[in-house]
Amino acid sequence: MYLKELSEIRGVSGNEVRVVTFLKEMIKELPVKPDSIKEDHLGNLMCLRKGKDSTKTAVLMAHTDEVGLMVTRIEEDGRLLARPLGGVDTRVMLGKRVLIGDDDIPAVISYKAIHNQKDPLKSPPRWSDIKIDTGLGDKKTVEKRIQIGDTISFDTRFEEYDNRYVGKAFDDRAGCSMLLRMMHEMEETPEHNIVFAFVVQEETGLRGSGMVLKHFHPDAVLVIEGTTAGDNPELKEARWSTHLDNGPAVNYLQGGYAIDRRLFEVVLQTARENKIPFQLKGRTVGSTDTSRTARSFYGAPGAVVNVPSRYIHSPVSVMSKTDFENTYKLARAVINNKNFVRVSYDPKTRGA
Amino acid sequence: MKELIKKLVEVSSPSGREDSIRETIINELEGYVDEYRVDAIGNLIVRKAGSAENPKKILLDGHADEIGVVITNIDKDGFLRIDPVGGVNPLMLLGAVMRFRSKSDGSVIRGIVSFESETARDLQNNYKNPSFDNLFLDIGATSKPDAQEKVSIGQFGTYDAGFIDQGKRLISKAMDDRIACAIIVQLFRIIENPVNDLYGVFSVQEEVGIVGASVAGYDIMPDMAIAIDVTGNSDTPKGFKRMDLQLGKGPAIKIKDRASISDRKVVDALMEAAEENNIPYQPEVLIFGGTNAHGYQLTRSGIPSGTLSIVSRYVHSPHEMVDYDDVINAVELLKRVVEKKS
Amino acid sequence: MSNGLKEMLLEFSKSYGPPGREEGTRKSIAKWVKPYCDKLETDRSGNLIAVKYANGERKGSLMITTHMDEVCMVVSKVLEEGYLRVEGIGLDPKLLPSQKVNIHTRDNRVLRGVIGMLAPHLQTKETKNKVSDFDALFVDCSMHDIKNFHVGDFITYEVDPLIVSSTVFTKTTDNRASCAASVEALRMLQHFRHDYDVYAVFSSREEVGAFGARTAASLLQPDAAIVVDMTFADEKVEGYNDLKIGDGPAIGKGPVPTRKVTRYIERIAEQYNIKTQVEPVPGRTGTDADQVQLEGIPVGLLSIPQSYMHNPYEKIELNDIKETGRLIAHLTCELKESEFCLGSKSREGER
Repeated sequence: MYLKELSEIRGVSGNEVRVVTFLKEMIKELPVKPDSIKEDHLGNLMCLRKGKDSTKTAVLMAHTDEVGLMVTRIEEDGRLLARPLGGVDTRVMLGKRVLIGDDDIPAVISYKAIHNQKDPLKSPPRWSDIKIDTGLGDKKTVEKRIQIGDTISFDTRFEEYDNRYVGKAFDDRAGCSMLLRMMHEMEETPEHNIVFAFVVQEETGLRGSGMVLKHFHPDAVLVIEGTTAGDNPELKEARWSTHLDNGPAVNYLQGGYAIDRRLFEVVLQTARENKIPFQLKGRTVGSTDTSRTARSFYGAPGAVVNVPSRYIHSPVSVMSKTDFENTYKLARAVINNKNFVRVSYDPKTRGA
Repeated sequence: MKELIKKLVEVSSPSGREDSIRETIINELEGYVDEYRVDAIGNLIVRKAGSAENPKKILLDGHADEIGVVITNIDKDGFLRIDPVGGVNPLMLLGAVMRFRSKSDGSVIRGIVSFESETARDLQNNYKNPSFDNLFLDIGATSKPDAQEKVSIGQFGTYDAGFIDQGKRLISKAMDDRIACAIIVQLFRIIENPVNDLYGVFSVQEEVGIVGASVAGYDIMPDMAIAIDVTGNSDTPKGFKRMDLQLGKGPAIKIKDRASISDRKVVDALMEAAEENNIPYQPEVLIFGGTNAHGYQLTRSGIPSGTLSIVSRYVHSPHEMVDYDDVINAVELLKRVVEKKS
Repeated sequence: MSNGLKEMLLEFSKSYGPPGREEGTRKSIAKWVKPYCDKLETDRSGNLIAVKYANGERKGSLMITTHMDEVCMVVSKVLEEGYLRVEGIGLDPKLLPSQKVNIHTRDNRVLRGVIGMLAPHLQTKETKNKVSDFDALFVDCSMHDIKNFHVGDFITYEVDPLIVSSTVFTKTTDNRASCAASVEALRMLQHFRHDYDVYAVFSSREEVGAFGARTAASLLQPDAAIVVDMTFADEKVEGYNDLKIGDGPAIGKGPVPTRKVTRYIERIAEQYNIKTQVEPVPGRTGTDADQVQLEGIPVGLLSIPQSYMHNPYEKIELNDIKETGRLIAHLTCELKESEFCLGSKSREGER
């Protein structure tokens, strides 16, 4: 739902305002409104649907920010230098169009002609080699419209094919889209409380999600992420992270957190019971907001379902439509599963 | 105490999969605690009430998890790919045996690690630059279905290495940090009527990022937290020349490592107790690494925290070596500290 | 007044305050801030907290955080022959050869040490091209009985401050210049009305992970916070805009500083003609602000321009400190409830 719009909206880490504004407008149109909507000073948006059992709370989470750049220097000739917000490789920036600042000023990132390079393949460009050209003029002219600190995002149109989506920021607008759709389709009162949490600044260090534990007391957290694939001819299959079309990918270990065993088992069981195809992630690199929620304040256990997305953290990602649909189904089934909020390590109730 | 140490180190519980060690510790503490609970992310918290009029709350932490590996892929011939759980140096896996639990009958499955090598040169390069990208685990499966019957992707495993009692020196996997768990269990056994409120926290997921200890203190907010962990050593041939940590010189009272600087109150309490009671100790500055003290220091409005360390050789290898007298002295020292009337 | 400011800064600079052992600095700061606050205490994290209450109807609280700890070294091994091996905390080893240092012993004495380096005559072609790292460095403490020293003793720079007009070269202006600015602000607030309590937190252990700031934020739960630290000026930082000493505090912009707080700071600076610069921070700021943000407090970041950070002789401009203090004072006074939805109720509400 609204994947195209969400993919195209500009919302780099620390400046997610437009994404949040869009979400709030869509929430106004929901057939059943949330029982409460909270927005904190960071821009985290948390919508509560009260459950029949209001003593249990599940949090469904997706992050609204995308990776991008920040203007860090304006050269005398008016070209801009930038540094990444989140993990961006310089090699994906060359030869691209970008948009800068709240006025959406377009610019290009080009490179010196190959004819004039002594050794074009010698080494990847450094960030100081990435020069952004607005075409507006010299430093004095540019400064009238662009400031140090302005955010820069990829400029990518969303495209749809038979079984593929092509666009930017599927990490994690794909997740946001699924949360929105779930809120739209949740016409009945859920079994237990469900908080739909759209959190900020995941890409710059998981800095928004911890706040959710200040507003709600989750029994469990489920994050929906867009994750790496790596399923291309340049990487051996044994080291692929996920494979497109094989269904939603489930984590068991990531940077900073081993996915809660009991929740992991609930996810797999739910997939099997609902006959939803799934795959297990083949790599444990990277991190998600569950690493933050497990170690913040009093701590909450978490699990993750991912939609495989090739080339995340670049201007163009590719997703499978069937994966997208199945990830939605799985996330929906898990968040509504009463076992998801009834995990207990109490040895007297082991087996839960 | 050796029986207790042996029992704890031989349990296989890597970060995130601490069920077995939790159960073992609960059994060992049967009858020695007033209450226990397991919090939302798996920390085991035990308590013994203090008899003083205004008892202080003292928390002792030992992390329950050990480093290990996780299965990420089962290839068409039944060979496994693995990723590290915590700080595992791929070089350490060569020649080691890894252990998993069979999903078909619960028996122990053992595996051997080796490197890819299409050519002799490949092999040399892989030895020089070992990485999880070019190694695999062989459990002796005859095919992919054969392997899949025994293990799954997402399954965690540990070193398969037993406890060796060399008299004064003890050797085993997971001394980091079961030696601390043993020390805490021992303290709860020998302190029958504590003066102060005593909390023992067997925290989870330290090895993947000090997760458990970041939240375990939240509801307790003790007056002082002491993390007990292993530390490095400098006493092997051409050992670290910038540090001074030796087996047998006593428990180490940590001043600093890369994750925290110990609270002065904790350092002073430990040093005073050691000197007053003639317990040997060594002051410690570790030039790498960190402990759970970091997590307690950051909890809410702050918990004065420090670390008492057991010097250990070959940390994060299948065979970590500690000195038994250091362990006994650590128990004695901590007993004096927690029993001190305020 | 600038004489008082200079004197205060030099005393702060000289005081003893490694991370987690800030006793000396705490005493110095307490002495200077006491006349300007209503309450002064040290919390269990080692933070020094000076409170100045609001006049009249109290609307909430504002926390001003400046870390008081310094970069330094700690003894990691004692060599019987009269040398010490050390671990650095935030230091560039290149700056150490031939330095005089102060070793702070267990019995609270301060003893001389010298960081040695081979004279040119004894160098070989190989050693001439090497920069010594901490594994190669050593402190010569042979002037004293080796029994004085223990693993865990902290070691600080010994400097002779240089003052040229209003430019000061001395150690630890990172971050004691900010502490001075904070005291300055409280001094100015004696003459102003403000609706918000001000908590001037002189935080501990920033240099090893911002522990003090995080725990202070948790304890005080202020409605908003301003963190003051230092930034690089008159130094070519590749890819970044040029900041200048003398051009006033730099306002941090990025995901960590809260946007509404940053905009408020810019507005007040303009309103009161306080010259400021912009410092883009595309990720972690490396200051107390990182931890204050994680506690959930709206936070702004001001940085005093400085050259030669973490050197024995850092360089700052007294006027930059004064202007930063002035800015903090005005930020405090102008704070109104509507500003960025302050108050615990509205922090959860609509923006």
